Formats: sequence, structure tokens, C-alpha cells
Amino acid sequence: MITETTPQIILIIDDDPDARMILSRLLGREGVKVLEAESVKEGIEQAEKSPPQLVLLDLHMPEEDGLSFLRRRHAIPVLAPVPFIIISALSDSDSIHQAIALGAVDYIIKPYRSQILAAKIKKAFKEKTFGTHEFNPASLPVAKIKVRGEIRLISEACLTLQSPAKIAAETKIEIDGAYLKKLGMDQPSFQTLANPPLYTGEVREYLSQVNFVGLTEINRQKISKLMGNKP
Amino acid sequence: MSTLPQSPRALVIDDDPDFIQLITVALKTLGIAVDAYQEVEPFLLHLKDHRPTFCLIDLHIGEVAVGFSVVKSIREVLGNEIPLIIASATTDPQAIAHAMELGADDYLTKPIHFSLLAAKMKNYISSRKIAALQPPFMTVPQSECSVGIELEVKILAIDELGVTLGSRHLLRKGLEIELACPEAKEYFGRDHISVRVASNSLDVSVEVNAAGDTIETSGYRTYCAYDPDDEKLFDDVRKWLAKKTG
Repeated sequence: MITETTPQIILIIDDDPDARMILSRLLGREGVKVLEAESVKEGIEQAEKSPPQLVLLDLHMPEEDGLSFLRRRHAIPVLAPVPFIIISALSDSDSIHQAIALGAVDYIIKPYRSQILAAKIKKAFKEKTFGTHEFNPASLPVAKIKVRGEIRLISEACLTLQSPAKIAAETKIEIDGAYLKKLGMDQPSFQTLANPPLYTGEVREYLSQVNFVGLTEINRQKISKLMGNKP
Repeated sequence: MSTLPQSPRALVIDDDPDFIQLITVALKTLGIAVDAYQEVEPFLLHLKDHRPTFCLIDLHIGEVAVGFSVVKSIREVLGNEIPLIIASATTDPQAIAHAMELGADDYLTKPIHFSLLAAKMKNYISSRKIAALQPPFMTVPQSECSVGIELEVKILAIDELGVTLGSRHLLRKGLEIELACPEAKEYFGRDHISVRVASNSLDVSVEVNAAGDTIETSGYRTYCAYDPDDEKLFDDVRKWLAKKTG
């Protein structure tokens, strides 16, 4: 693999189908997902569907050449942060200089050695091409997560929950499961107690005591009836 | 045969004799007697025959971070019987999270604030008394005991490999969770995603309020990675990130 991160997507923009095929095979062997485009226009369409982490760009193309595209790529959001490597038969210093000045991270002259190509691609790859969006601490989005658990013990007042999550004390939580439905508790609400959860060393999980909130008399009677079979 | 303490008793391991002297005096003022050791072996031997109310464990004995293995060993042998509190000078949030994942119940950063110590000790002692007063319980049949637990978290950050969550819950590394939020469609292109917990670090802030009480606020930053085989998710997240930074 070129890098440890997955998936790795590389976009090849080259009007020469043989050149694209060779590159595609080479990269495919490295476990990379390859998108191919024969023109800048097609390349942009591909990128907008599946944003790549790297672009291999030919310079000499009929509709729009590589240098023109390099000039305007920052205006395309899915391509703005992506590193571009030029792969071209043009070996004159002007072309190389212009490409680098326009922000290409590297320049490979055709024909190239595959080991050199792989090394340059590896060097250009960023683990997080598109960066990290940090939310404003004053307005963080609220989310719900669902984890599995097991009810170990139940009484008329509370239950003991085992879970791989150490649930914070004095927290409102939602629990659903077949056993609770059997007790007629289809939409119960629960509150963990003030004590911190205890740790079960042998299975690396936590035991939390959870109070019932708003339990009906019918629910209590059902639990009480079931408790005819005490441990 | 192990003996249970009638009055609260702490078992301490720390290689710093000054700290031992300090914590002994501090805990005695709270009515807690102290047995203290500077080396691991006599500490563990003591634990074999006695059950303290809680243990206070230094992470580093000498140059070595043996505290982690002490916590792990105690949990493997004694299960959840005794609260374990780490006391250490390190503020490395990942080290703290690792100690919690191994089974430590709490963490005190040296130098220890007396009022914080007092509040935590009160909590651990009262939890033992409350445990003794519980109503009769019934075990739930193994075939029926599985449940789904829904917890509230905040999303701190999103990147193209995963999402950072903030909450007071510690989610064990490797745990698979389902994440949903009203904005999920916008961020991830779908109503909910499955992620796997990759790492935790502890966020602790200590402040003194107007009344002079030391208040500790702690939470966890949990990094959860996307399913590496879910190519569509990576595409949708990258598109959203590109729009945000573009």
C-alpha cells in the first residue's frame, strides 16, 4: 500500500488512453482506487463524484491543457486542497518551472520508472487531504450514539447494566430491548445513579446502576411478579 | 481470609515518602486510615489479606510506569471489588484515558487539591454504603438480557478519516457504535453512520468557584474511525469538508 490510510483515490487526467492504462495498472497493484479522465472537464466531473486525494495530470491535452487547469483548480472546492503531480513528456525547463510555480507538488517526465513514480506519490500523499473541521465550542452539534449492553440485574427501583461504555454518573440514558418490552416498558426513560460505574476486569466492561424514571404501577407489578424467581 | 474494614481505610502505593506523609495526613483529617507502601510487592501482598475501602496508586514507581500493570492485575484478580484511584504528576490525557480503560475508577493529578480529594473520597465511601442498602435484585435470563443503550454526545470535529466526540462517557477502544444526529445527512450523506472507537483522551479542567470550592470538570475526547470499506461515506465526508474549507 502507498499509505496506511484507506481508501486511497487517485485521479488520472490524461488524453492518452495507453498512458492512463499503464498508470492505472501500476497504481492498482499498490491497492489504490483509480479514477480516469481523458480531459479536464471529465476530471472535474469525476472528482465531484468521488473526491480524490491526489491528481496525476498530463500537461498537453486538446481541450484544456494542464497549466490552464492548474491556474484555476483552487476555485473548485473538491480539488482545492488536493496535491497535483504533473506527468508529462514535456521536459523543457519552462514547462517544469511553470507547473511548479502554479502549485504542482512534483513533476515526472515520461517515460518514468515505476519505483520513482511510487516514491513521488507516497511523498505527495497527505493522510488528511481535506483537513479537519472543528466545530465552534459554543455551538457543538449534539448526537446520539447507540452501544450494546446487557441487563444483569433488575429490581423494582433500578437495574444494573453491563456495557463496554463507562456511562457517566447522573446521566439520562435511553435503553431498549426485548426484556424491557416484555415488562411493558416500551418507552422508558432512565437515569444513572450518582455513583461511578464499576469495572468488571474479566470482560473489560462496566457495570452501571440505573434508576427507572416515571415507572408505572403496572410495570412495577410485572417486575415484582417476575421477582418471584429471586437469585 | 481477607478482612473488610469497619471504618474507611485507604491502601496507597507511591515511591515518594513525602507524598505518602502528605496523603496520610490529608486522609486522616477525612477520617480515613492509611496503609502505605513504596514498592509493588508488599502492596499486593497486603491486598491479598485485606480489603481497603479504595486504593490510591501512583502511576510511576521509580522510573517505570508500573501503575498501569498494577491496575490491570488488581482488576483481573479482584474484579470490581475495590475502587482504584490513580494519583500521578502526569497530565497526559492519553495516559489517563489508558489507565481508565484498564479499570481505574478515577484520577487525581499531583499536586492534589485537598477539597477535590475530600469530595471524591466522600463519593467512594458513600457508594459502598449505598451498595449495601440496595433492594433485592433478580438476574435477567442470558437469552433476554441484550439491550441497546443510547447516550448523548457532542461532535467536536469531523475529518475525512473519522469523527471526534466529546462526552462524559468513556467508550472503550475498539467499540463499534452507531452515531446519529439531525445534521448527519449534511455531514455524512446519510441519517446515521457506524464508527469504531480508535482512541480516547481525558479533558480535565479544575477551577475554584466564588465560594472557594475546587470544581473539577472532566470529559473524554473520543476519536472514532469510519468503516474503511464504506467508500461512499468517505466520498460524502470529503465533499462536505471541501465545501467547508473552500
